[in-house]
This record gives sequence, C-alpha cells and structure tokens, in this order.
Amino acid sequence: MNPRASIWLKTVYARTWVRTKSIYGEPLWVAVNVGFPFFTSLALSLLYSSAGLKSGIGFAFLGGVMVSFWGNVLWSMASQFNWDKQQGLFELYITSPAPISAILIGMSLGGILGTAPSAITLAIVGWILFAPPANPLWPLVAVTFGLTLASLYAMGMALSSLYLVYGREADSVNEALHEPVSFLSGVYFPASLAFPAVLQAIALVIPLAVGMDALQRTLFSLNSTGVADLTLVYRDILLLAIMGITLLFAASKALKILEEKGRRAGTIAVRLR
Amino acid sequence: MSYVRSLVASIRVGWSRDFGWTNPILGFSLKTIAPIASTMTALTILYIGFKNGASIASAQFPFLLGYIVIGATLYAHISAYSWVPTLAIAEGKWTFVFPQVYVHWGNSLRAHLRLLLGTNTSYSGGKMDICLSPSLRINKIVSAIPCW
Repeated sequence: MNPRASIWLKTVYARTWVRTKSIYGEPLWVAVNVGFPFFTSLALSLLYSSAGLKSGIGFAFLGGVMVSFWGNVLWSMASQFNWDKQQGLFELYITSPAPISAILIGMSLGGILGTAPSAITLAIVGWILFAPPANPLWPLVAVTFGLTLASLYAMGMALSSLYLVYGREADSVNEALHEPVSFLSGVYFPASLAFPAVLQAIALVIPLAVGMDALQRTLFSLNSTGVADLTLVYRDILLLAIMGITLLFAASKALKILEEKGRRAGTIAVRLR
Repeated sequence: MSYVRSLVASIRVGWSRDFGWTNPILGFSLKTIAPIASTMTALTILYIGFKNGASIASAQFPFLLGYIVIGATLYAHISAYSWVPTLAIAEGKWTFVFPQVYVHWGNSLRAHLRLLLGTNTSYSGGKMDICLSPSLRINKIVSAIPCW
C-alpha cells in the first residue's frame, strides 16, 4: 500500500479507537449522553400526548436521536482542537507525520460510534413506550440519515478549525449555538408547521435543519395525504450533499490557513503571557 | 475570613472564566439565548398541539402556556447546572487547576483527616488529582511528581 495512504488509514483508526474508548471509558458521560436527550424527548412526548397529538410523539424522539449527534458535533468535534491546544496535544499533532484530515475523520467516526448506542437506545425506548405512528421509506431514511451525519460532522470539522484560534470564547459560543440551532432547525417539531416561510428558508443554511426536514418527511410522511412529498425530500438530499462537500472542503482550507497563521502569530500553542 | 477570601477568589475566577473574554452584555446575551430557545421549543410544541390536536380548549391555552414557560425555563437552568460538577472536575484536572488549589493543604479536609490518622495519604504523595476520578487518569505524569 502507498505509505501516505497507510499512515492516513492508521491515523484514522487510532483516532477513532481513542475517541470511542474515551466515550465508553467514562460511565458518567455514557449516562449523561443517554439521559439528557431521553428526558427531553420524554417530556416533549408527554406534551404532544397531552395536547391530543399522538402523531407528534415521533418528532420528539427523532429530535432526541439527532440532538445526541448535534451535541457530539459541537462538543466533541468543534471544541476538540481547542482543548487539544490547551493540553499541548495539538503541537504533537502538527509535528507528527499524522495528517490532520485523518485525525478529523477519525474523531468523526469515533464520535458517531460513541453516540450511536445512545441514539439507538432512545429510538427503541421511544418506540416501546409510545409506539408513535410512522410510515417510513427506509432506503430514503438511510440515505438522508447518512448524509445528515456527514454534513453535520463536516460542519464540526470546519468549526474545529475556526475554534482553534479562539480561547474560552469557543465554549461560550458552543453553549449559545446548541439550543437556538436546535430550535431553528425544528429538531423536535416540523418547522413547516411552526415557522413562516422566510424563517424556514433562512434555516435551510443549517445542515441540521435540512436533515431534520428530510428525516421527518421520510419517516412520518409529513402531509395530509400521508404520502411523503418526494420532491422536497430530493431537494433536501441534494442540499445535504452540497453542504457536506462544501463544508469538508472549507474545513480543510480553513485548517491550513489558521495553522499557518497560528505558526506565524505564535497562537498555535497556549503560552503564559 | 479565609473561607470568605476563598469564596470571593472563586467567584472572581468564575466570572473571569465565563465573562472575562468579552464585555458583560455580550456574555449575558450568549448565556441567555440558550434557555430562551429551549423554552421556545416547548412553547412551539404546545402551540402545534393546540392548533392541530384535539385536547386543548381555547380557554385552557393561556394557563398551559404559563405552566410551560415556568417549567421549561426551570428545566433549561437545571440541565445547564447539572454539567457544572462534571466540567469542574474535568477542567480542574486538564488545566491543572486542582493541583494549585490543593497545594495549600489547609484546603483539603481529607488531608487533615489522614494526617490526623497518620496514614500515608495519596495527597501527600502527589496523587490527589487522579484520586478525584479514577476513570480520567490523564495526568499520571504530573501526578507522579511529588508536590513537596
């Protein structure tokens, strides 16, 4: 095998393994990863149920599943290089022959592997407790889900490059982004039922919003006839693919620029000033 | 008085950590936007349920709105605070804050007790940071260096 490809693959494997191990190595985090989305979904399901809208319960649990991944993207992808910088790990990354792109891909794969059990648990428990009505188009659900994760983690990679130049403010920006983006994306409810068209159009720049729209349509056939509007689903799939590729490219470019800038300005490592 | 001084110092450090990087208005705005969005999510679901469901009468809606505002706001705050102990332990270790705090041995009740009992403490062996959470043993090298 080509030595560069071999190093790339080994780095991906190593970073995936470390990320997965770190998630399962801390029982408290496993409990938190399952507990928070579960209780939020449960509360919102009861709200749907008490309002006499049983068909909405599926949205609450789908939202919980996707929020697990969104939280992982923000806290374990976007912030990671900033934390690595604080601990002195990032200097090791850039002085080693390990490609940064492979480290980012490894972090993403590890994050997905680490978050999947929480998401699956949530989906199963939601199904057992409430049996929400669904009319899934499985091949489209699989494509949409895969593309949503790809574009979300590509966004995480782009943000991780951006946060690299920041300090504590990265954490505060993350805290400020998490809930408002979930709300605007219509994570727990169909945005088409809640927001005016202008707001829905603005939200289409967020991968999570596009992914949620497509998943809600393919899983729950979002219209009065009970048949999914495939034109809108295909539009969402196309948008997700474009976003994923663009964000991946932007992440790679931004990382190179900021790494170079950091080397020149001396901000790539944390120093006492 | 030393407790008051420690408390004031902790508050100043906390303020600096959360707001020192920006001006207080932007800092407070960023801290406020998340609980508002969380509450808005619950309100939106109530509104969708009211418009499309069959169980909420028009006269009930304003009362339910009040309940949801209070409950969702409280939940948003509690869920935010529940991260604090985890973050405090994790950050205290990763950023080497705990060794600085514990270096003044008067801060550790455990150290007092063990010194009183005459046992060889992990504290005096310089291992106090890994004893706080065994599953997060990332500071072994630092821990291996005796404090004094």
